[in-house]
Amino acid sequence: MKNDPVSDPKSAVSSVHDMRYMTVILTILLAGLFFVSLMVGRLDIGWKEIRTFVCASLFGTPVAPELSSKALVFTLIRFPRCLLAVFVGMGLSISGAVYQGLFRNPLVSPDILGVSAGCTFGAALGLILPGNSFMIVRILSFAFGLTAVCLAVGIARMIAVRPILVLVLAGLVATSVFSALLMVLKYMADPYNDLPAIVFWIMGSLNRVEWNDLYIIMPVVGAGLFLIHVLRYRLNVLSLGDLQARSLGMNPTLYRVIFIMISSLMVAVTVSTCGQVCWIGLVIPHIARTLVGPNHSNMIPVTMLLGGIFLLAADMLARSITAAELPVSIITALTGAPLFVYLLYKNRGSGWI
Amino acid sequence: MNNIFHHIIHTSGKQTLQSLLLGILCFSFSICVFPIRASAHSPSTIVDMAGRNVIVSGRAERIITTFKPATLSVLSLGLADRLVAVDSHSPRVEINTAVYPAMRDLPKIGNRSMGLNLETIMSLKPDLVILYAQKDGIRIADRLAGYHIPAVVIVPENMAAIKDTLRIIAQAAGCPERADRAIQAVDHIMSVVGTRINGLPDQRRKTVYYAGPKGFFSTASGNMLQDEMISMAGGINAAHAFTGFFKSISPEQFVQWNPDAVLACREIRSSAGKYLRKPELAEVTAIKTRQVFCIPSSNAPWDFPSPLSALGVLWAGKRLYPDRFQDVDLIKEIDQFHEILFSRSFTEIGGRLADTVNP
Repeated sequence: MKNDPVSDPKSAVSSVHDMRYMTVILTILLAGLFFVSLMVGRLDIGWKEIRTFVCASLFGTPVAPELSSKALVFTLIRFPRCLLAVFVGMGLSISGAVYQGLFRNPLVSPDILGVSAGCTFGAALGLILPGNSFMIVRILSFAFGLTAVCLAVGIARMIAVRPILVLVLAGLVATSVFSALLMVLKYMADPYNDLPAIVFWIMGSLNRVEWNDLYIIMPVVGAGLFLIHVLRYRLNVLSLGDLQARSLGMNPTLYRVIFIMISSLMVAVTVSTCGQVCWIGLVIPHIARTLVGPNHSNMIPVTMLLGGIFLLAADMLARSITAAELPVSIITALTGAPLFVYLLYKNRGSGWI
Repeated sequence: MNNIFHHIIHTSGKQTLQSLLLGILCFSFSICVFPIRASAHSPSTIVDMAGRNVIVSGRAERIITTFKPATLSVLSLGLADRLVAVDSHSPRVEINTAVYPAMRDLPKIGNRSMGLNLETIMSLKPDLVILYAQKDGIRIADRLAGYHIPAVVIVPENMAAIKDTLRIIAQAAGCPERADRAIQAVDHIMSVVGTRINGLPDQRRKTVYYAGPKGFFSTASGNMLQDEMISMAGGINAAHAFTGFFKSISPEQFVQWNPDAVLACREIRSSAGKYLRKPELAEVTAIKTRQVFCIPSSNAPWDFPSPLSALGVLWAGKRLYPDRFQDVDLIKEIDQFHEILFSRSFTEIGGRLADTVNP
């Protein structure tokens, strides 16, 4: 805790400066990258055309007939996809940061706690149930995501020794249980109708996004991000431990439940929109912590921005390197895993783990 | 021996010599013929599609199939009543149970994606197991061979290989003549298509997008059967340059390819309609001109490896170039084909093309 603002007021001042500086840089970077990613894709769309399309949708100026197809591709495919990448990246990385702060454990993330596996199982269950309503898919996804995190935390609490290690192991248990249940579903599913739908859903990809998905994901993840941003200092208190939190006049159980609900809901909504995208929830909070320290007041906004940048860049590569799509998880894993190893190495011996 | 010859010649004269020569002739003829007849009922070696030498026991009476194309091939050869077990997915293909209802009650030995139960296979004492080349197929085939159970690996990944598959299964089951009948039926269909597509200028060939079983934006690469089927039907697969298995593409890529027709796998029939309504895809030729079809049929996927793939090619040709196929009575050809392969016509078993995609 080298940047602990409570124990070191000087460092608090400098970290606030660092943080502002960092936030501005990252915001500019995110905006720039967003603009670039709007121009990158299989169809050539230049910035002049983008300007025409934006004017057309804002002020109703006419679009030349030869550009109408491009305009539709831009407004209905590329733009929502870039937006989704930012929201999913932010949502997943913030969930990771919240879990890490909440459980005082730098090794957890939605993937490791089993939340992603639970959400995936829920989504798959929703898909094979009669009716095939997307709302049921999302609700079941959330319910099982929450079940998974409760299972992991429950096991860890029951064992109650070496909490950091045990929580990771308990997460492994939850992940295995839900992966196995998913296998059961896949085994029982009709190979012609249900199975392809499940396989399709599980593949982490942003290529099937449409505005309807964003109408759900934007308010849910947006509200989640806002709430966590507002409550971020409480994460600092919670990360001191329940006893300290109580002595500071806070009800730790209530806030724990609120934080878990919000993060799990964000993960569920992202998983049921674009499948599992791995590594973001684990690596991004660590990068943020390396940049601005462990204080959640600083680290939460930086994590959010970094998450958006990271997934936007990864998805930009996924959709433009080849004519065929690369699964975005390949890129996040191939960049995230070595980065995590580097951070582990760099921060060894600093009480980081 | 010489003494006997001399004795016979001296005692019986010229006539005896003639009948003796005739006898020798008959004997030598029977020597030539006997091994051929014997091979139908005694062990012989065949080479399967993975290049493995397989000792087969002559006539197979207890056959086990481990994946859908194998089951459909066995049925096409009229060998359904010799099946003692099938993979768990096969009974879910409607045509299999329509042609051979008893399949529902056969033991299930697992499936390709989740693994096979070797113990169940062994307990059924098969004399022929037909396996796949992917995943653990070859390894299981080798293990079974070690237990003296003939196991052939088939790789029906293109039209020529589909015919080879029929030949190998028929040979391994000890009834090679059955393959000829089915292969002739396939060849007939291919020649119906070939004569109509022949001479089609390159610039008139339509670009076809294949929407695969994993979703509308998942398509078949240039290495796959579906690519070959499209080209046999006179089209050009939009994703021909891709290699490997099914590949996902972005909707943008679909717009860029601007295909003239879309052939959607029947697995995504229910969701394909929604893409017809999407404004961002409305300018794509195939969607603008309503050239989006679902690959038949109601009882089997004609775009997956089996002799029925030939019908898939015929159907695709008819849909892509209706003017060139004007004289072809699709249902009549399909009925005849089913009659030859399954002894029952397509209409009789309740088959429908079911190839329309409703927006």
